[in-house]
Amino acid sequence: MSDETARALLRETHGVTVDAAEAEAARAVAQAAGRAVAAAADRLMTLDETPWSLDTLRAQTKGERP
Amino acid sequence: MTASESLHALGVVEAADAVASGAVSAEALALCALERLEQIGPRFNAVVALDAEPALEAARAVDRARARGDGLGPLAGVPLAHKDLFYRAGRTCAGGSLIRRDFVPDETATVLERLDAAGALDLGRLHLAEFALSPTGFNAHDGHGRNPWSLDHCSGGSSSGSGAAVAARLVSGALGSDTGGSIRHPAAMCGITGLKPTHGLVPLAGAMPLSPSLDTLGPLARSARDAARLLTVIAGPDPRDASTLAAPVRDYEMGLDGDLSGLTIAVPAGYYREAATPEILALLDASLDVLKAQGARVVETHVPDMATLNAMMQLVMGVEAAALHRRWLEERPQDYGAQVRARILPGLFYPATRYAEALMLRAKLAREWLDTAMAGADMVHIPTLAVPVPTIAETTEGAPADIAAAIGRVTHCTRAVNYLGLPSLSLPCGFTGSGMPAAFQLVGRPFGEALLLKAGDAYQRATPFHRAVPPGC
Repeated sequence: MSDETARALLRETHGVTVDAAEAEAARAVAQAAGRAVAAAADRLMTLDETPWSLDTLRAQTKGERP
Repeated sequence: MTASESLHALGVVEAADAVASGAVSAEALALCALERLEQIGPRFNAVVALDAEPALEAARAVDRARARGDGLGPLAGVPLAHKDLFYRAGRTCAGGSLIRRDFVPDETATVLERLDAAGALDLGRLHLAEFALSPTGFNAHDGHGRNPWSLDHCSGGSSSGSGAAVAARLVSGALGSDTGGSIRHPAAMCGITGLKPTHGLVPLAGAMPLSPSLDTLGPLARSARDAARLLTVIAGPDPRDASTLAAPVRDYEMGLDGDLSGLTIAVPAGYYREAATPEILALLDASLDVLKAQGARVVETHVPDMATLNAMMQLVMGVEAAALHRRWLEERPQDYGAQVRARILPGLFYPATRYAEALMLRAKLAREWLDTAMAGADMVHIPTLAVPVPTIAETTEGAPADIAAAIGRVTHCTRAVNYLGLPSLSLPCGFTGSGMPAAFQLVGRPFGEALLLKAGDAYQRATPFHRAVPPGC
């Protein structure tokens, strides 16, 4: 997707206007972090084991030690 | 030294004890703190606005209650002030922004209500980064927060005013917020104690959000004991914040006995210590020696892939902040500082699936971090800031890549902790060659604050760093 297309999509989906330089910088950040998250999801996520809430997180990690 | 000159030396517990015993009046404490905030606060750009009359009236009410023999709250007469993101009904709360410069909330933050009920004095609103979005104390509208140890150095952010005011002995303690390190950065850079609690322990209701699933509220104080007193008051279930409904209620001062026998502290090799400069490493090792002398056992562990955890945190914060700011990004783009707008915009470019993945993996990655970094120990010892406190120039001037790198070094050791939802206590551990404070953090299991405070208190019984006062303060 070109930066121009991304900017148009941003206007359409979020109603936010950014200039070309802002779009390029923001997309670079988002692509880097997004790739890392996607790679972790490919490695770790299963259909039946995807708790997402903080309550679930705390229930899983608390209480082993005082 | 005159009586009024010595009042500012009192920390949270000392001030509360002095008022309760009648050794000092709450009004005298308030007057002393107000005078220092007014006269010394501008040096560090620490103060947004003072609320002298309401604070003095509250102080006089404490003094009248004591004279009547009424029971006093655990913070009765203690002078506090907080970064300007805690709502008080009828009082302006700008959140460090232009956009909310005239915002007057019609509700009061739960944490302020709890401090009020405990008798604490709220002296005013303190500096913070715009919308709490800078780890250094940078604010394009209000100017940079400045460090009491050196005006050319960063105060740390986003709770910059809270950190500077406590370090400079302008107030006895303060609250901050921490989404990626915003309590721990100013605590570390200003040489004080800061506690980022477990997500869900301290109610967020009535505090300006940045990224609600990462946001936490906690104390900045002169000691672990002072932080324990403040945490005891502000923590616990709140019907206005469903995430706190399982939060424990306890007295965090109870276990502060100085004895660390039976406690195991993990020191992970790799990511955290590899980033530390030699002088920071030496200070970290010296702090471990103290903890060992207090009875703790120290074991070496390692960490999982931290790049993944940092990306998760960055994505979650970006998306949640962008969702909260989307309307203003369109309607009032000119009212954001460029640095803040640049940090929010990437959040608009992530697919929704990435955000869901980052949330769904949270428990599994927390489990993995606890299994590897903590590995059966009670807590993890890592730097808060792996490099010396940066100068303001290093984080604002020069090539954009250099500025980004300098800011990245500030959050290197803090941001993943928020994604993991864990508690962390930052403690001062000495000074670097430039004369600036250094600090380590103890990271615990969910709701493990009592153990962290116990360790922090034991450490501070054997070290002088938390008692060090910046020059001219």
